[in-house]
Amino acid sequence: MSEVPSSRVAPSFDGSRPRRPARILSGMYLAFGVRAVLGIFTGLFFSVLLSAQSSTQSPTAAGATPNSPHPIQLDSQKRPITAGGFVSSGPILFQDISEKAGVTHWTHTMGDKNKQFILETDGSGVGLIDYDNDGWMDIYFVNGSTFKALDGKEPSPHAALFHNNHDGTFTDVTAKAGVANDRWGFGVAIADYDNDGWPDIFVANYGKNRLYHNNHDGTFTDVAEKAGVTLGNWSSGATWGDYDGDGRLDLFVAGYVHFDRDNPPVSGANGVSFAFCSFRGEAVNCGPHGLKGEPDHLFHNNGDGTFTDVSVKAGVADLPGYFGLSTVFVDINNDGKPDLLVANDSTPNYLYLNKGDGTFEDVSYASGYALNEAGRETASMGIAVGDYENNGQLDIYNTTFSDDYKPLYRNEGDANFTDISYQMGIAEVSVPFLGWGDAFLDYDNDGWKDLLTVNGHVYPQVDQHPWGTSWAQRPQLFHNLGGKKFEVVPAVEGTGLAIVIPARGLAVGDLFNDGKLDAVINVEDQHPVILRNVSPDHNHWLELKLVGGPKSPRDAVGATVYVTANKMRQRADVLSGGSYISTNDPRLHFGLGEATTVDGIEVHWPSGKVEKFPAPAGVDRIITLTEGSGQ
Amino acid sequence: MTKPSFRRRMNSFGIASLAAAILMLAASVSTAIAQKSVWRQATDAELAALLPARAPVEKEHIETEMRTASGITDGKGRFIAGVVLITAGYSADGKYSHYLILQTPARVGGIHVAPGQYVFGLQKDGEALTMHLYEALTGKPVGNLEAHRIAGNSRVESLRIWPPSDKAIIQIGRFAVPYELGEE
Repeated sequence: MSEVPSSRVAPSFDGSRPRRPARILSGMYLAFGVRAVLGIFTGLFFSVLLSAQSSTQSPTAAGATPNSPHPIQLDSQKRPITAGGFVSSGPILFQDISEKAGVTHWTHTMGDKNKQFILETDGSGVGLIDYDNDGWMDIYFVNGSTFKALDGKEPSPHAALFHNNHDGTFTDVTAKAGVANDRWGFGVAIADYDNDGWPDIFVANYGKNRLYHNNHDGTFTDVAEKAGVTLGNWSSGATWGDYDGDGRLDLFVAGYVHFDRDNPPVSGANGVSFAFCSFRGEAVNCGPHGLKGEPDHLFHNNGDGTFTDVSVKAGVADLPGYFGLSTVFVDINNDGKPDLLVANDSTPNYLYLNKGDGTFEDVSYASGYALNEAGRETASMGIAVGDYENNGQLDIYNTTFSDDYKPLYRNEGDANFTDISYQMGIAEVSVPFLGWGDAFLDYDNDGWKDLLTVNGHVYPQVDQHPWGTSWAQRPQLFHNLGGKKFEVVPAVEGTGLAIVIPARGLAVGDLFNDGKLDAVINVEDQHPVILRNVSPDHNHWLELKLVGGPKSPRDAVGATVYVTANKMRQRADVLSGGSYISTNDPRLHFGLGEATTVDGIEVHWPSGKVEKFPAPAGVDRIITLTEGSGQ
Repeated sequence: MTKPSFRRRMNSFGIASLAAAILMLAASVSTAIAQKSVWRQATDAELAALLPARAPVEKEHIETEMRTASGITDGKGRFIAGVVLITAGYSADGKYSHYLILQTPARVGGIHVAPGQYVFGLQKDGEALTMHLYEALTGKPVGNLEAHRIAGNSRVESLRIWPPSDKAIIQIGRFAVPYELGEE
């Protein structure tokens, strides 16, 4: 470790307002003995003792709650900034088209409105899938359930598959497709695990998981039992990736809390401390602290429709029992092998580096990803992965709890990350929000990846207190200023950025094949929201659908693509999972700014093959690249 | 007998003082070296025996996250050790985030800290991290310390108290504040 700069102390205060700490003795690293002798001669030994010990201070900044180091952020109408802060005019970038799109008749259900138990708070994800291979993204919304439904006393809420009608509307085809789930659902990861050219759906449940195999005719069959991936307690997020390079996608499933239906966690009972069932002194549902964590699982794809649990052997079994939520396979150190990220709630995050021999190395702490820059374990919810600097290194943005900022981990190379959220200007503004789904997306096609988060609290009780946060919250969009800084995009009244909802899952993609990235949000206990990108920019774009060869997964999950245009070299990766327990559009999107040509396309296939493809005949189009057809 | 001149008397006094100072310096340095060599990283078992599962903080007892415990010991029963408090994992209750026990006086970030039990909370302050230090049992403020970012890409830590023979720093995240062992 390198040398530490000199320290400063605050020797005295005026009793109410903290003074700027004054610099004292330089060379703080001199041996104590030398200092002591100097002190004997000068009479200054421990000269700050009295003043320091007798000092008083104001423990919090003006306007802060008694215990929070952050001031409450209210808008001009005294609303929490999470449910207000709107402006009357400004750029109109997203519009809520949910009703017009025909998705509002379906409603998400997550237990009781009072949220007595943690099981009722953390749902659910959403996946974008072109299930019928018609070239348009369809939508799969996971649903939760109720205790009564679990007990067979009322019908189970069901998930929803919405077919894209190519005209801005969607049709609910759930029943026909056979993907209703009817279990207490959380995450979704979509990929073509059997390389038949048709995307399949994995649903992570409380209870047995589902693996819906695509039958190529608009229907699916649940093969989870045969595949051996059902598990049985609380699975949360999932991700597909070919960790061993055999050309078949393997499955990682994060476990959250071990929830005992017959002995649910109640304050002061079942060994659960009251402290783990309160928020700011208010009684709320218990956990996750104080509850037993559910382990994570890595399932190796055997290529015959079955999977083998290799979690322990691979070194990713989550032996401490951290509270896993979102997860994603992604090549974080550019060695061509998918590494593994796990966002853990209230416990350290995992970053596992793929060693290439079927095992992983846990570099969570060494990389800096385990904690935020102040060494705090964060309540991580979602993971966004993207190269916001256009330097070829994938950066990570995690959403976390309210009263905490959301860390942006800049990739310094060689799997070293630095939390630079404060330096980038997006830390303090995120503090009141409780973030879930998040994504890097170039909403204005200027070639720089922006950041979108969707938000909402886990405790309905927050609406009864002046804590500066709220149950329903608006999204936050940060515009990327050339990779140097992010700026807050204002929430203009009447637009998609001003909707106030208890959001959870988020998937981004080009729903309408118009080159603009839209956002699909699964909303707790409400109907879902589709935010159509209506950015008035006239920038150009390119989207790529990848098809892997015989030695790669057919859907090319794990591929990395570099597109050079407009004097920039951008990177994008084909991923399954991430955000908050959701799956984005698998097609890679590149904003080109004013460029009307592309200079080059380079694809790093999961097989290890690197191919260059000629520039397409034009821009503003979606093209398919097949492994083996390049140079 | 002639009295020695004032200058001579002062010279003699000065020589004696210098000699005494050198002796004291040598003794003090040797003591410091001895101290540095004695203090070592405390073991998990020692920390588990020392640190409470529920730390007494003002009128409450706050759960501690023992996997974050770190400390040093002189091997003779004296420790400087700390652990992260479980404040629901969120900085909402972030006035205090860490619990600290000192069984020997020390200068931490330039502030003399007497043996006792302390808590501190953290606040981002520009490029630095401000540590607000309080007495654990009373909540009485002790002072503010400034932790600075460690250069390079070090391992991130919830809390690590390095032994004085190594770095003599208390590391939080990727920030560090120096400490110096004192004497009873």
